[in-house]
Amino acid sequence: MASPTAAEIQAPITAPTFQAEVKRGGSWVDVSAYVVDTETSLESASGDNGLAFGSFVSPGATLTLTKEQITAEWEGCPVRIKYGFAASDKGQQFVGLAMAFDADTTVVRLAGAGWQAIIERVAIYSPLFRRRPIATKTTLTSIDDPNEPAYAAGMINYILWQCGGRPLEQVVAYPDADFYYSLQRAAIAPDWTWIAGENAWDELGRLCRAAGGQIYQGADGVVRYVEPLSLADTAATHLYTDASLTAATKVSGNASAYGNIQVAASVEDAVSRVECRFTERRLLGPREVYRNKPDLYIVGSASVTLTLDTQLPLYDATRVELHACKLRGGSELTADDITYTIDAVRGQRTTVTLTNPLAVPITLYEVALFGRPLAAIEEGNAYYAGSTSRPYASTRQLEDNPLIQSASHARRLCRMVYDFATAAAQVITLTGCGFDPRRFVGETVSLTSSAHGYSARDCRIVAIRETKGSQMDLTLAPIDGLPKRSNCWIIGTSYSGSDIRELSY
Amino acid sequence: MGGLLAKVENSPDFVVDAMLSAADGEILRQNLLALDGASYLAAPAFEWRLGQSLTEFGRNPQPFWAGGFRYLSGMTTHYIYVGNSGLTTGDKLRIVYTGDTVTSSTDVTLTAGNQTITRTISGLGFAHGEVVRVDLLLYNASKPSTGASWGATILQEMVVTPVQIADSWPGVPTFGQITEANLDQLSNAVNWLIRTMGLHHRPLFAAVVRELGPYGPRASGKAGQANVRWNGSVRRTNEHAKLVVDATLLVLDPQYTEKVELFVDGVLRATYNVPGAAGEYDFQLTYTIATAVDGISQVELLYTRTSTEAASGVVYNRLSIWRVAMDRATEPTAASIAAMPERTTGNYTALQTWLNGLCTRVSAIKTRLDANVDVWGRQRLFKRRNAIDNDQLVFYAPARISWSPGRIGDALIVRGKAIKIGYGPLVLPNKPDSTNDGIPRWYTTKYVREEDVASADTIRTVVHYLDSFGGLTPGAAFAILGVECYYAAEQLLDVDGGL
Repeated sequence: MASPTAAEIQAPITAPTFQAEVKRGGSWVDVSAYVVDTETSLESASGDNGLAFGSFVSPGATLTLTKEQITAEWEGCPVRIKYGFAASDKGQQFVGLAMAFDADTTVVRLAGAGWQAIIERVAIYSPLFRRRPIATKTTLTSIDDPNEPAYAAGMINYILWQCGGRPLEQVVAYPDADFYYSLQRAAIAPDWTWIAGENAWDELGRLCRAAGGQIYQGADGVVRYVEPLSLADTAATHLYTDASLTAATKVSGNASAYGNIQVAASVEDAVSRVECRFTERRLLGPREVYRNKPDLYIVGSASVTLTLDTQLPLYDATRVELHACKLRGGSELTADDITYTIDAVRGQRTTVTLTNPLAVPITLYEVALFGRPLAAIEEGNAYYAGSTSRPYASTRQLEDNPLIQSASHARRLCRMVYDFATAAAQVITLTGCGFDPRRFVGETVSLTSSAHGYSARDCRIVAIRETKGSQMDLTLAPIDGLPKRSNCWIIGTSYSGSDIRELSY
Repeated sequence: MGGLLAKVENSPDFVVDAMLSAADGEILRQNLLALDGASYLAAPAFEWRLGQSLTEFGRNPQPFWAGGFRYLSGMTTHYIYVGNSGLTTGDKLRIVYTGDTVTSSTDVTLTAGNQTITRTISGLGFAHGEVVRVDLLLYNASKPSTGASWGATILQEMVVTPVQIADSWPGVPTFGQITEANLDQLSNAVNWLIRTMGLHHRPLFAAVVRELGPYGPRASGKAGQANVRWNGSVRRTNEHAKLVVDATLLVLDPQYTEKVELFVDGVLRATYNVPGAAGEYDFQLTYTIATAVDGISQVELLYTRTSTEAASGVVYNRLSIWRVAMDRATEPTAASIAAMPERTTGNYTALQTWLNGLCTRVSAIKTRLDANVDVWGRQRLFKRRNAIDNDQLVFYAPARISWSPGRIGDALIVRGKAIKIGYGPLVLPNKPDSTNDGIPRWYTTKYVREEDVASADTIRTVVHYLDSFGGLTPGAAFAILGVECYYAAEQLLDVDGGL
């Protein structure tokens, strides 16, 4: 067995193979024999701009099975679909969870979604991170476990870890992770980042929109964050052309044909000025951040854990004030009498464990928490105005984002959005392409179109939609003119005096 | 963050293989611009206090001075500079420290002449950030006989020292390559400056507000005590040679020949002649102290009249003194640092030059701090001031208020109760309908902006960020009003709150 070869893929008549599996009882069960149809969809962005920042889309799949599977366990079961050619290995095209069920008397359709289904359902409370990039690079040795003392990873790392993900580069150490992620270091570090129980998938999108870049799940199931300056920084690995080629020249030229091409652009994407609001925040000195009257009954010598949700996110908690007494009254018991520990300070949620020092029940009638909160102090606006001379160019107002906390951050983000909006204002759709399991979302390919005057124009694949491994449609975003990481000064790289680079955002 | 260190941020951490970000460079640049400007900060004055021996009606020991300081980790020593005369053998100064949980008392025997008393405050159990009340009491070994020349002790200055952070100076790199180590060393040096300078606490000045003019004529020579409107001390430092007095004169009766005179170490150095027309006049007296000695200079401000006053119906003019400080002899010109915005393109030599320029600026600021121990290495004590409220802050009436002639700080630290901050113009809520002796009746005035900073219930230490008071921009003057205030100071940057 081997991976499909170019010759197998480009042959005039080729026979795709597939394998569909559902994980039941902890084991993958091959249901290929029951498959009626499969469809998968992989995207890194949606909308009119394939390089827009955010975590907009998760992969999707529809798996249609015969009636024998109607009564089978399905809810939330992991599903994976693989394709191959002839006798080759089958390459994974989708892995995710069965999230919906639709059956008549003859077939059952399972709608699969990516790990978004897990991520958006986990309530996460994080500590405050001070000016950390939203994502830090994952490597074989990167510290992604928040329990490690030297932990300094970004908020995206934190969220994905808490959802059960583990770094792909550390797969050997974590062979049974729920899913894997692979992240690049982000170009912008907000002053403060935290999450306090919000929809974590939406929060990933907010993080990306605050610092640039995209989060998406690839065919291999890995959740990836690509920082913006790397979106266009890889060489093309394949050519899509409308030239008439034989199977042999397709193989030798590393090229493929497409059936049709559609190029779309909108005036809405022509931007001459980008504006952004920001809200400055600052850490305040120690003060009372929580007070409540729980009237909590605590049996003798028992320990209880209190969850204190504060209005402001906390950087740390310094002390707890307690007021309690025996049920029959008598002298007051305070924090001097009651042993307590501050277990965790997680943004807007602090947990405190205290122990009744008496053998008889007591009532905790008041509790207060003191610590250093992060408060919003001032709002402002920033903008970047480019030099575009398009007559219809417009002003784009970025959506409000609590992670944009300084004029400097806002202005740089405006500049970044402007750079990407002006350069990547087209969406190109190729339909009728022969299915090629080697193509992946995020790959750079060249595009030639005699109709549109493109000659090996570099584009990024931002979406792949296929049906049963036979044909696929590609959505491409042109990347010429975008800023690139390779044009920037890199810390730790040796340069000579005449080397020319630029500062990143 | 507001004040002189507005917009200062924690300097960035750099990581190998990361792109060099314009944002990180801009943070370093903005930090250095703010630090550079703040490093020229003027040195404050200390108001003297005269204590005399036991009188017929005094108690023994008798209260002499009260105030406080803010204890900071690493402080070791409390210096008390006094000048003594006419002592009786065995006369002592009792020094009482009262912290949140610790009280300590020490008696020190006074000696004739100038005396420097050194007390060790480390190890007494004070916590970082705690305001420590200090009471000085004079203990007289024996009661002077009636008519004898009573002894006197003048409190000339009090400071606690050192003001420093725990971390040692990291030094600055020379950029050959843009390595993580070089960049982090630069960041650490900038952070070291921020945290060190942020610890500067400036006690509010005890402003003289509308004090009456001279009580008696002066023909020649130095006037008597009755004419002294302010008496204190300053230090001439390597950086600060110019003594500056900012004052306002409210001339109500211009019929006499009057002057405001500045004496330094007993010698007349500057004079302001009172204008011959009614009105309100702002003026400044300056004198450059030539000797480059880190020692105490006595400063006296006298209000004198040289013409014969009328037999009756004298109307006294009003003198306000807003600021006494040591400033730089010449105003420094802020040097610029070129900005490097995002996507700035250039060759590596230009980048090296820019980064090394940042390092040069860091070194210059550090050198300036080292040369100004009086400003950056010591904390002067605040003199207790109380019972100033609206009823006493009346128009034309004299007062002494805790006063910042221009906000420099990020945070206001106050210990006391029923304390308010007032700023903006003084307004007259109720206009009087008659006059008295040719001048309007005294009536209550009020700051346009007044806000509570400490409740009336109990004495407590509170920290307020001055940015939270709308309109109190850096450089704006403000007053602390209230019933009981043991300590009021601006902190340049609340480094405990986090950068």
